[in-house]
Amino acid sequence: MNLFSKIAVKILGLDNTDLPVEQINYLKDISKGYNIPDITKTNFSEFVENLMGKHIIDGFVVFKENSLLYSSSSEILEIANKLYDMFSAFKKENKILYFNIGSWVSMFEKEDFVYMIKSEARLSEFELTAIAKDISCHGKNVFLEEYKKIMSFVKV
Amino acid sequence: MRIIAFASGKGGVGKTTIVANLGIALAKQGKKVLMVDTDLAMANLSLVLGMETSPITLNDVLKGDAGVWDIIYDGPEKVNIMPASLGLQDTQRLDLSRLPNIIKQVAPKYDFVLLDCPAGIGEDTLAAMASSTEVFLVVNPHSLSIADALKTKMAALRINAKPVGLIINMYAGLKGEIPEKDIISMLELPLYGIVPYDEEVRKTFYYKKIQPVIIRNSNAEASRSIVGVAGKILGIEVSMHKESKGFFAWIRSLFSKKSEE
Repeated sequence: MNLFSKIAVKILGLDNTDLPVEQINYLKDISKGYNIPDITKTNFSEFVENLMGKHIIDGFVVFKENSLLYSSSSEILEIANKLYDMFSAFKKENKILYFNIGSWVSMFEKEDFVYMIKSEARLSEFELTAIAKDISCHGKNVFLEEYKKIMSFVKV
Repeated sequence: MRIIAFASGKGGVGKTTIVANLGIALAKQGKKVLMVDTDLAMANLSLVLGMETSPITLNDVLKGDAGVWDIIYDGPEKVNIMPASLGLQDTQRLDLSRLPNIIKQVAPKYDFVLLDCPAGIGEDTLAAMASSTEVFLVVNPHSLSIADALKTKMAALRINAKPVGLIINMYAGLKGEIPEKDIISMLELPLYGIVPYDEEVRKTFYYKKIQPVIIRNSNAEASRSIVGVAGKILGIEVSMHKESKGFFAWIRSLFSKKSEE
């Protein structure tokens, strides 16, 4: 822009800006792609899939009093079996134990359940609390049912 | 009692200025307001409010070195402020997981607790959003700000925080600015107001004593827009108009003034 144009723009208050249309379209595409699934309890396997999608995690395991109640995959169960004893030895109330095994494994206890979450990124306490809340809110009854079964088996 | 976190993702969009002025606007409506600077590394809220240095801050409480009631200070227009530290050494060994409980402890004494979030979606921002009952996104009408706001909204949803509204700040009325309807459709949140780019806001930082624009010049365009946002938060609809600038706009304004007379 030459000097005269600059002066003209300033004095006349002309607007020589333009919409970045391509960027807007790109952002609109991203916006559509950002789809946070609703967590519902209608179908348990659907719930697990949605939960993992919402929180961007690779898998989770739930324990209660040293009993395994749920594991989202056999691969994660193998990791859980290796790390559970270590967690039991080092656990502190309201504290999270993080393991870096290439990806991150976070273990913590919340309201009678022990959760193990596997994720690419190291998750903050707030993210883990939200995951535990979602798991507990929609899966608690399923897990407690499983726990009852295990306990009745142990009694027999 | 409402605990509102103001987040943006991108820095420099005017979050702190919005929080400071909005807090005062709500206080002027007779509401009890506490403003909390949750930007623990780059605290600015107390400076924007023109307050002198605060000896004890939120950083001390998060370190376990002070009690929560020791860090509530009186600000302008009867608002209360919970400042963060301006010192670099105070950013270490902060237990952010305590923030939601700290906020929960003080919130019942107020009608509104406004949390000024840091930029980014780090643990400090998540802590602030997790402490809130609702989240407002503050954006500028350009793609950089909107892209970051989108990520912030998603981060909020993942921790079960509730994004409920949108404030467009520094709207200059340029052709190149992303129109509000596009911003609303991209972020899928209701618009609570458009605060125009106003030289009066920038000028407030260049006086001997810094004062929020709503106090220094309550007739400034930005001040009036913020009052509109406060009204909408309180459930009162306030209409806002956009003023164009430049020589022709000035000529038009002369004629419109004549016709009004």
